[in-house]
Amino acid sequence: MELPKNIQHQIAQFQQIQQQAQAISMQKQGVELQIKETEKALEELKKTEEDSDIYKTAGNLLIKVKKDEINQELEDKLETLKLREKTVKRQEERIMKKLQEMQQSIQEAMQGSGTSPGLGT
Amino acid sequence: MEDRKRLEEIVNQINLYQGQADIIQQQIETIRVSISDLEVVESTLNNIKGAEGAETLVPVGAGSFLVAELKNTEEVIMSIGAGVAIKKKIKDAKELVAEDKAELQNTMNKMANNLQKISEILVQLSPEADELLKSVKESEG
Repeated sequence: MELPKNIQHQIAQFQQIQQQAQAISMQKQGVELQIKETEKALEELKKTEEDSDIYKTAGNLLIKVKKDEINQELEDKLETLKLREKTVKRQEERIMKKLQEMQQSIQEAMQGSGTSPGLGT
Repeated sequence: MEDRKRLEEIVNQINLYQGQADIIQQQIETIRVSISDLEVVESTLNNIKGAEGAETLVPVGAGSFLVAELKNTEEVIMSIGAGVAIKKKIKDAKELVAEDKAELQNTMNKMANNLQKISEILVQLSPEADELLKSVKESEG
Protein backbone atom coordinates (compact mmCIF):
# COMPACT_ATOMS: atom_id res chain seq x y z
CA MET A 1 0.00 0.00 0.00
CA GLU A 2 1.47 3.32 -1.17
CA LEU A 3 1.72 6.03 1.50
CA PRO A 4 0.37 9.51 0.70
CA LYS A 5 3.06 11.88 -0.60
CA ASN A 6 2.86 14.28 2.34
CA ILE A 7 3.35 11.42 4.85
CA GLN A 8 6.29 10.07 2.82
CA HIS A 9 7.82 13.53 2.96
CA GLN A 10 7.27 13.76 6.73
CA ILE A 11 8.87 10.34 7.26
CA ALA A 12 11.89 11.31 5.18
CA GLN A 13 12.28 14.48 7.27
CA PHE A 14 11.83 12.46 10.46
CA GLN A 15 14.59 10.04 9.44
CA GLN A 16 16.92 12.92 8.60
CA ILE A 17 16.38 14.49 12.01
CA GLN A 18 16.76 11.07 13.64
CA GLN A 19 20.23 10.83 12.06
CA GLN A 20 21.08 14.29 13.36
CA ALA A 21 19.91 13.22 16.83
CA GLN A 22 22.19 10.17 16.68
CA ALA A 23 25.14 12.37 15.66
CA ILE A 24 24.43 14.76 18.57
CA SER A 25 24.13 11.86 20.98
CA MET A 26 27.52 10.53 19.84
CA GLN A 27 29.01 14.00 20.23
CA LYS A 28 27.66 14.12 23.79
CA GLN A 29 29.16 10.74 24.58
CA GLY A 30 32.52 11.91 23.21
CA VAL A 31 32.49 15.04 25.36
CA GLU A 32 31.44 13.06 28.46
CA LEU A 33 34.29 10.65 27.85
CA GLN A 34 36.79 13.51 27.57
CA ILE A 35 35.45 15.04 30.80
CA LYS A 36 35.89 11.74 32.63
CA GLU A 37 39.42 11.33 31.25
CA THR A 38 40.43 14.87 32.20
CA GLU A 39 38.99 14.49 35.72
CA LYS A 40 40.87 11.22 36.15
CA ALA A 41 44.12 12.82 34.95
CA LEU A 42 43.63 15.74 37.39
CA GLU A 43 42.99 13.28 40.21
CA GLU A 44 46.16 11.38 39.33
CA LEU A 45 48.13 14.65 39.15
CA LYS A 46 46.98 15.53 42.69
CA LYS A 47 48.63 12.38 43.98
CA THR A 48 52.02 13.25 42.48
CA GLU A 49 54.77 15.17 44.27
CA GLU A 50 55.45 18.79 43.27
CA ASP A 51 58.86 17.94 41.78
CA SER A 52 57.70 14.85 39.86
CA ASP A 53 58.59 14.51 36.22
CA ILE A 54 55.44 15.28 34.26
CA TYR A 55 55.18 15.29 30.49
CA LYS A 56 52.69 16.53 27.97
CA THR A 57 52.20 14.65 24.74
CA ALA A 58 52.86 16.52 21.52
CA GLY A 59 52.30 14.02 18.73
CA ASN A 60 54.96 11.36 19.20
CA LEU A 61 56.96 13.53 21.55
CA LEU A 62 56.72 13.98 25.29
CA ILE A 63 57.53 17.46 26.56
CA LYS A 64 58.43 18.05 30.19
CA VAL A 65 56.08 20.47 31.95
CA LYS A 66 55.66 21.94 35.42
CA LYS A 67 52.94 20.43 37.61
CA ASP A 68 51.06 23.68 38.27
CA GLU A 69 51.14 24.59 34.56
CA ILE A 70 49.64 21.32 33.39
CA ASN A 71 47.20 21.38 36.28
CA GLN A 72 45.91 24.78 35.20
CA GLU A 73 45.78 23.65 31.58
CA LEU A 74 43.66 20.63 32.49
CA GLU A 75 41.36 22.71 34.72
CA ASP A 76 40.79 25.11 31.80
CA LYS A 77 40.20 22.19 29.46
CA LEU A 78 37.67 20.72 31.90
CA GLU A 79 35.80 24.01 32.12
CA THR A 80 35.58 24.27 28.32
CA LEU A 81 34.45 20.65 28.05
CA LYS A 82 31.72 21.14 30.66
CA LEU A 83 30.45 24.17 28.78
CA ARG A 84 30.45 22.16 25.58
CA GLU A 85 28.59 19.35 27.35
CA LYS A 86 25.85 21.79 28.43
CA THR A 87 25.44 23.05 24.85
CA VAL A 88 25.29 19.54 23.37
CA LYS A 89 22.78 18.45 26.04
CA ARG A 90 20.55 21.40 25.18
CA GLN A 91 20.84 20.56 21.48
CA GLU A 92 19.93 16.94 22.26
CA GLU A 93 16.88 17.93 24.31
CA ARG A 94 15.66 20.23 21.54
CA ILE A 95 16.09 17.63 18.80
CA MET A 96 14.46 14.85 20.86
CA LYS A 97 11.47 17.09 21.50
CA LYS A 98 11.23 17.83 17.79
CA LEU A 99 11.42 14.11 16.99
CA GLN A 100 8.59 13.34 19.43
CA GLU A 101 6.43 16.05 17.89
CA MET A 102 7.13 14.77 14.40
CA GLN A 103 6.42 11.18 15.41
CA GLN A 104 3.09 12.26 16.88
CA SER A 105 2.17 14.23 13.79
CA ILE A 106 3.12 11.31 11.47
CA GLN A 107 1.11 8.86 13.56
CA GLU A 108 -1.91 11.16 13.44
CA ALA A 109 -1.53 11.63 9.69
CA MET A 110 -1.25 7.87 9.19
CA GLN A 111 -4.26 7.12 11.34
CA GLY A 112 -6.17 9.78 9.40
CA SER A 113 -5.26 8.15 6.10
CA GLY A 114 -5.99 4.64 7.40
CA THR A 115 -2.40 3.32 7.33
CA SER A 116 -0.68 1.79 10.33
CA PRO A 117 2.29 3.70 11.81
CA GLY A 118 5.54 1.72 11.78
CA LEU A 119 8.35 4.08 12.68
CA GLY A 120 11.52 2.56 14.04
CA THR A 121 11.81 4.72 17.14
CA MET B 1 -4.74 -6.39 9.59
CA GLU B 2 -4.06 -6.82 13.32
CA ASP B 3 -1.35 -9.42 12.57
CA ARG B 4 0.30 -7.12 10.05
CA LYS B 5 0.35 -4.26 12.56
CA ARG B 6 1.83 -6.48 15.29
CA LEU B 7 4.38 -7.84 12.79
CA GLU B 8 5.50 -4.31 11.92
CA GLU B 9 5.87 -3.53 15.62
CA ILE B 10 7.93 -6.65 16.27
CA VAL B 11 10.14 -6.08 13.24
CA ASN B 12 10.83 -2.53 14.46
CA GLN B 13 11.64 -3.84 17.93
CA ILE B 14 13.94 -6.55 16.53
CA ASN B 15 15.80 -3.99 14.39
CA LEU B 16 16.18 -1.66 17.36
CA TYR B 17 17.49 -4.39 19.69
CA GLN B 18 19.76 -5.76 16.96
CA GLY B 19 21.22 -2.28 16.43
CA GLN B 20 21.87 -1.93 20.16
CA ALA B 21 23.43 -5.39 20.32
CA ASP B 22 25.80 -4.51 17.44
CA ILE B 23 26.89 -1.30 19.18
CA ILE B 24 27.51 -3.10 22.49
CA GLN B 25 29.46 -5.83 20.66
CA GLN B 26 31.70 -3.18 19.06
CA GLN B 27 32.25 -1.50 22.43
CA ILE B 28 33.16 -4.83 24.02
CA GLU B 29 35.74 -5.39 21.26
CA THR B 30 37.25 -1.93 21.88
CA ILE B 31 37.52 -2.67 25.61
CA ARG B 32 39.08 -6.04 24.88
CA VAL B 33 41.79 -4.31 22.80
CA SER B 34 42.45 -1.85 25.67
CA ILE B 35 42.74 -4.71 28.16
CA SER B 36 45.22 -6.60 26.02
CA ASP B 37 47.20 -3.35 25.64
CA LEU B 38 47.35 -3.10 29.44
CA GLU B 39 48.43 -6.73 29.63
CA VAL B 40 51.41 -5.93 27.41
CA VAL B 41 52.46 -3.11 29.79
CA GLU B 42 51.88 -5.38 32.77
CA SER B 43 54.10 -8.07 31.31
CA THR B 44 56.83 -5.55 30.37
CA LEU B 45 56.80 -4.03 33.87
CA ASN B 46 57.03 -7.48 35.41
CA ASN B 47 59.99 -8.49 33.25
CA ILE B 48 62.03 -5.29 33.27
CA LYS B 49 63.30 -5.65 36.84
CA GLY B 50 67.07 -6.02 36.97
CA ALA B 51 67.49 -5.55 33.24
CA GLU B 52 69.46 -2.30 33.66
CA GLY B 53 72.17 -1.97 31.03
CA ALA B 54 70.54 -4.54 28.77
CA GLU B 55 70.61 -3.93 25.05
CA THR B 56 67.19 -3.14 23.66
CA LEU B 57 65.68 -2.23 20.30
CA VAL B 58 63.59 0.94 20.19
CA PRO B 59 60.92 0.93 17.48
CA VAL B 60 61.07 4.07 15.31
CA GLY B 61 58.29 3.06 12.91
CA ALA B 62 57.90 1.01 9.71
CA GLY B 63 59.50 -2.03 11.32
CA SER B 64 62.76 -0.14 11.98
CA PHE B 65 64.63 -0.09 15.30
CA LEU B 66 67.43 1.79 17.02
CA VAL B 67 69.79 -0.07 19.30
CA ALA B 68 69.67 1.34 22.83
CA GLU B 69 70.67 0.47 26.35
CA LEU B 70 68.23 0.40 29.26
CA LYS B 71 69.25 3.20 31.60
CA ASN B 72 66.51 3.16 34.21
CA THR B 73 64.43 0.14 35.12
CA GLU B 74 63.15 1.56 38.41
CA GLU B 75 60.79 4.08 36.85
CA VAL B 76 58.48 4.30 33.89
CA ILE B 77 56.76 7.20 32.14
CA MET B 78 53.11 6.35 31.84
CA SER B 79 50.11 8.05 30.34
CA ILE B 80 47.37 9.13 32.75
CA GLY B 81 45.07 10.26 29.92
CA ALA B 82 44.18 13.73 28.59
CA GLY B 83 47.59 13.93 26.90
CA VAL B 84 49.55 13.84 30.15
CA ALA B 85 52.22 11.34 31.24
CA ILE B 86 53.90 10.95 34.62
CA LYS B 87 57.13 9.32 35.72
CA LYS B 88 56.22 6.59 38.17
CA LYS B 89 57.98 3.96 40.21
CA ILE B 90 57.47 0.51 38.67
CA LYS B 91 55.48 -0.63 41.72
CA ASP B 92 53.08 2.36 41.52
CA ALA B 93 52.77 1.96 37.76
CA LYS B 94 51.81 -1.69 38.20
CA GLU B 95 49.12 -0.68 40.70
CA LEU B 96 47.70 1.90 38.29
CA VAL B 97 47.67 -0.64 35.45
CA ALA B 98 45.92 -3.18 37.68
CA GLU B 99 43.29 -0.58 38.67
CA ASP B 100 42.63 0.40 35.04
CA LYS B 101 42.44 -3.24 34.00
CA ALA B 102 39.96 -4.09 36.78
CA GLU B 103 37.80 -1.10 35.84
CA LEU B 104 37.78 -2.12 32.18
CA GLN B 105 37.00 -5.73 33.01
CA ASN B 106 34.13 -4.62 35.22
CA THR B 107 32.70 -2.45 32.42
CA MET B 108 33.15 -5.29 29.94
CA ASN B 109 31.27 -7.70 32.23
CA LYS B 110 28.39 -5.25 32.60
CA MET B 111 28.24 -4.84 28.83
CA ALA B 112 28.33 -8.60 28.29
CA ASN B 113 25.37 -8.90 30.69
CA ASN B 114 23.43 -6.28 28.75
CA LEU B 115 24.25 -8.06 25.51
CA GLN B 116 23.01 -11.32 26.99
CA LYS B 117 19.72 -9.68 28.02
CA ILE B 118 19.23 -8.24 24.53
CA SER B 119 20.02 -11.61 22.95
CA GLU B 120 17.37 -13.25 25.17
CA ILE B 121 14.78 -10.67 24.08
CA LEU B 122 15.70 -11.26 20.43
CA VAL B 123 15.36 -15.02 20.89
CA GLN B 124 11.87 -14.45 22.32
CA LEU B 125 10.79 -12.03 19.58
CA SER B 126 12.02 -13.97 16.55
CA PRO B 127 9.61 -16.96 16.74
CA GLU B 128 6.66 -14.61 17.24
CA ALA B 129 7.73 -12.62 14.17
CA ASP B 130 8.05 -15.87 12.15
CA GLU B 131 4.56 -16.98 13.21
CA LEU B 132 3.02 -13.61 12.36
CA LEU B 133 4.80 -13.49 9.00
CA LYS B 134 3.39 -16.92 8.16
CA SER B 135 -0.11 -15.90 9.16
CA VAL B 136 0.09 -12.58 7.24
CA LYS B 137 1.32 -14.44 4.13
CA GLU B 138 -1.48 -16.99 4.41
CA SER B 139 -4.19 -14.34 4.87
CA GLU B 140 -2.85 -12.25 1.97
CA GLY B 141 -1.82 -15.06 -0.32
